[in-house]
Amino acid sequence: MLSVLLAIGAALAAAGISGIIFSRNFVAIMLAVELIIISGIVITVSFINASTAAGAMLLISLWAIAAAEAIATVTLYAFMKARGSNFRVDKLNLLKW
Amino acid sequence: MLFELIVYAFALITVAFAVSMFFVKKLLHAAVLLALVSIGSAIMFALTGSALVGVFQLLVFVGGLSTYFIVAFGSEPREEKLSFKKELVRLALFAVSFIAIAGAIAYGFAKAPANSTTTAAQSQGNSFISSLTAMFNSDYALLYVVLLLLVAAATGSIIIAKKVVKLVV
Repeated sequence: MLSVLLAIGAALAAAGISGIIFSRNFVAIMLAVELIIISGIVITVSFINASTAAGAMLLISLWAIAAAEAIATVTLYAFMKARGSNFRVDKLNLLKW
Repeated sequence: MLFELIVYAFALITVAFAVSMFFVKKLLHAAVLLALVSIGSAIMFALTGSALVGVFQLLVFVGGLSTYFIVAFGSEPREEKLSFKKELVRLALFAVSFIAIAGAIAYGFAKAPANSTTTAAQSQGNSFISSLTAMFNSDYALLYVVLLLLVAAATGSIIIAKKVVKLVV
């Protein structure tokens, strides 16, 4: 059964990386990153023993990173929408002065 | 046998949701599919003996993050429509990339040392909660404080971003 978890983790990571490569929308790319974090959690659960303090700490760290990424995504989305920016990453010029 | 079939079915459905995330027209639908992927992964945890980790996964991803995404994105269109031919080419390239990357990762797992996969997650039961309480008395308390600082930083970034939006608009 653990190999099933590893296979799902690999497939989710592949979907996320492919999504980053082939998406042009900024938010879709951030959702793909979230998908990669989920795959990381799945793979971590299949490798570690969460009944130890180290395992629980690692899982909570991963959940915190996912939450921070989600907050960053929605904050940037609100900021870009308020500015009327284009969400296409090949047309983004937010960092240009 | 039936149990294994159920596990494989849930695994396939979860991966199908993940792939279809990139082919829906609206960001709202992509966020809903991400929530379904989270639910699928939580069910997989439960089926493989890590029920409590699955519950926490549901709480964090579906209860918190996915709701946040769904409320925030509303009905924002993902991108402009592509022609059927371009959409087909994109689908084919995505499929090739997906198969190549998944194959590479699976090959990496297959070549990993055998003893690295023996620490199973089956022993995760109620001890997950006791390990959480033991965490405060362990060497990992410092990491917990760092996590709290990360949450504070995220909250601060929202406040600053709101001020910047008010200044710009």
